[in-house]
Amino acid sequence: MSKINKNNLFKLSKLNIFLLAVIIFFITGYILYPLYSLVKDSLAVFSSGNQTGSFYSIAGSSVLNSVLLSLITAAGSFLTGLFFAYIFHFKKLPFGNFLYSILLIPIAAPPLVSTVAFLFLLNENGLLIKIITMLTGIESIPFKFEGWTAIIIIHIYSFYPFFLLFIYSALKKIDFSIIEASYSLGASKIRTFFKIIFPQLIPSVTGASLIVFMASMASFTAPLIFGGSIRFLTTEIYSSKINGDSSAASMLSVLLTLISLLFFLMLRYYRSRNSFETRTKGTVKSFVSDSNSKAGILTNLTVYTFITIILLPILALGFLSLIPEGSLMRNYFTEPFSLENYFKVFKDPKFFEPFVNSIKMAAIAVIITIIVGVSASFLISRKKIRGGKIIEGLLSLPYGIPGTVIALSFIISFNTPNLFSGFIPLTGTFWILPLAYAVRNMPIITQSSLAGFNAFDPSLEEASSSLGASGYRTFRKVILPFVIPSVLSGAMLVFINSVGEFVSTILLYTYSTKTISVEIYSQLRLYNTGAAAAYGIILFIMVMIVVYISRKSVDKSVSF
Amino acid sequence: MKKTLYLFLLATLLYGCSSDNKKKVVVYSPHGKEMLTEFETQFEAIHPDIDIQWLDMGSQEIIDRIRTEKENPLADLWWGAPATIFMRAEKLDLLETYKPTWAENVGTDSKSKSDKWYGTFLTPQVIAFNEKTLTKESAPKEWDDLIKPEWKDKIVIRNPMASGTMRVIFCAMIANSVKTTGSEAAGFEWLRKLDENTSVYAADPTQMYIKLAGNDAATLWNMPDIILQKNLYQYPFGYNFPEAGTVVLTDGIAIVKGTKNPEAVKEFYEFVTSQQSLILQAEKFYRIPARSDIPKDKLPEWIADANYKSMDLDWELISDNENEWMKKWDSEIKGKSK
Repeated sequence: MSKINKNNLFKLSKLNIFLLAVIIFFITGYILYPLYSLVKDSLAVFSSGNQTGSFYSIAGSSVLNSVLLSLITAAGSFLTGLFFAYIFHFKKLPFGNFLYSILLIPIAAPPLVSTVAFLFLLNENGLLIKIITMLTGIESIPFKFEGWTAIIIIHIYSFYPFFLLFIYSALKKIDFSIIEASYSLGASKIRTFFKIIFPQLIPSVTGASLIVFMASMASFTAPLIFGGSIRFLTTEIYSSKINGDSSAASMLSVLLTLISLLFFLMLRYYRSRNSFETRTKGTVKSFVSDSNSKAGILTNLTVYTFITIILLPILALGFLSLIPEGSLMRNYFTEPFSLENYFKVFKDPKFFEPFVNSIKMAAIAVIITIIVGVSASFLISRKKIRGGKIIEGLLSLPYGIPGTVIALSFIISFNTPNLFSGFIPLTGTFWILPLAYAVRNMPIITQSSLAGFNAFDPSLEEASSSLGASGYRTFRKVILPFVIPSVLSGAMLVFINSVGEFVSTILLYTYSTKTISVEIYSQLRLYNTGAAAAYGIILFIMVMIVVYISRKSVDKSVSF
Repeated sequence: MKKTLYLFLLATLLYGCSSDNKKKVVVYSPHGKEMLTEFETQFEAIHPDIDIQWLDMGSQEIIDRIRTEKENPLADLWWGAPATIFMRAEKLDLLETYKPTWAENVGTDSKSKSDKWYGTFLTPQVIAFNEKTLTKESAPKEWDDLIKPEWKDKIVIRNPMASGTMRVIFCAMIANSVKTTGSEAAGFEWLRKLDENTSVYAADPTQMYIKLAGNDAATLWNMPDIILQKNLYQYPFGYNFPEAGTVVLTDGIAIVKGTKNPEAVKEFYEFVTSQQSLILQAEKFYRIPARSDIPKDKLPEWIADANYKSMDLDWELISDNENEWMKKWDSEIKGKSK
């Protein structure tokens, strides 16, 4: 293990070969095999005959709508993210750091929670609508929060933080002396932005676009609740499945996967054509704020307005969880606040079960993704194994596969015992859920730990071994501390995504594996909006705690 | 610190894997958490050796699940779905034969000829309206009132693709047109006109109630639920029974084929369909019993007072064509007038 850059499989240590076997087993069993079953099932569409005509028209319009929605979402999120990254980088705001972390809150809100929150805020009896009608005295506002507008607003709300996060950290790395040079050579601000700054942002912008486009293609909750009669791929998959037409559902899933893949490849191509590296000797001069950069009133106003918008849905949810059940129809501003909904939820003897389930499954998903993802990126980046690119590609594949599709393919594949289901029918067991979460989130860990390994300077490793440290010791004391922050932040995202996961859970859960999201959904189904809001708030607080803890531990491991 | 973390993880893992020796009965049901919890608790009190485990889902989701799990059945009892869905499940061979002790006390329309499923509740559908803006007189009274131009964009409809109830109402319109005109065309034309008047297809019942209480005028929904919403949550809802006759759904119960605990399942089956349970379900959960041997004075007033005529429909025809018709509606009518 002390020797690096051995290109040969036979020179890998036994441990490495074992890790490789685990990775290949995972890829074959839980990514390729389910996809194969899905494609096989989807081909039955062509043999069903009489209905193919209407299938094509449904498929056509839903592909069009989904792609359009994802493009609009990506564009809107990009502009919003860029705007605020710019403000927070170049302007000095009081409490800047605190405000910045508020802007990132939507990332931590599970889609089900934020969609429900918007519902309570903006539907016909929504909090904001009530406030406006009360203040203005208008009987009813001619505004309906539904359809395209509603979905796009929710999507941008949930996804713009990815752009903010990526662009903000890229801006930090830009050498400010180049910008100054550009100015002093007479370039305008706009020209400097397009010629100097933007090219350096391309890698982060494409990265964020990829995440947002795919997340929006795969988004299910907002289209389901606000879509009405507009067809989207995810909702059509669901309704075909419910309608008993499983081959149509599979075919639409295959289409969705192909579109995401196509986008993935296009972006990769674009990035490879436009990658731009700056060469700087010595330290990078970062932007130093001066008196000019003090934020004006207008900037402050914009930021605070936006922060209010970010917080409103969550506040609406909190408000709803504090008023008595069923008072939605009455004038709820006169109702006294009470913790009744929370007591009711806590009194349920099975209250803890969904929480324990969700946390347990998310934890297992994190462990699986770390084992497979970190060893894969270790072998790819440090051991430079042959076929590394293929492994990376296959592990990133699930990015483009929505939760509904993963669940559907798992049900088809593991209904009967086989090697990958551990020779039992896996459908209906506990394990199928964390496995599905792990597959869906594998790209996150793989990419984040790959970034960690790639950023690591091999000369440090050489230094360590030439100083007499064993391979294992070098790995533990030199490589690991360097990689841990990236792995941890990836693991945090996996945990957040899994703990509130709804889309695949709703197809896979059973009595003993109910999760928090299932509980929220069934409360909503029974019109217990107060209890649903209470569950939503508890889930939200839980996620915020996890974010806080993992941020602390990332900071700690960095200082180490 | 790290070690305690690992121990904690291990402990939570093990915690979930423990199991006991009780006989498990898995129930799939759309009847809702409250009603299911009530009967689970009551039943387990007299049968401590049986563990009732219910999953609360829509009836359409239930048949989808049971069909998906056919090779590896996970459910024992299926409590609740429109009879048409049970008819389809019977054809797909998903149900076990069982003749309950009260088999003779339900109408022939409300049970399977080969004892695969039996009716538990009758659910008349009504035209529900917003009481704040309309009265019984000014609201739509007959089916055909709903498609008059004056109600353009004023009708809210629960998205029928995911709602067993709505699917049956829609299909009943088509079946009625087959009966009266001999073809499906008039029925689809009626649905097309309804689509023109529809403001939105609500994703779930809550959405629908909120819209109906807001700007929309009327909807099609079942009577017990409308009364429940009105009584429990003060929604401003009123309703009309179409005089020409209304669609009356039978809601049923069946044992899932491949059940591992047939004896325990039958116990629970009989328990929830006993006279006493049905009266409680009527009082507390607004369900109208299908059994005819329950004395009228034991039932709540709103059931005794309900006066409606039921539409004579060919349920076999509806059950056989439901998926086909709904697919056609979905691809050719839904949202086309927008």
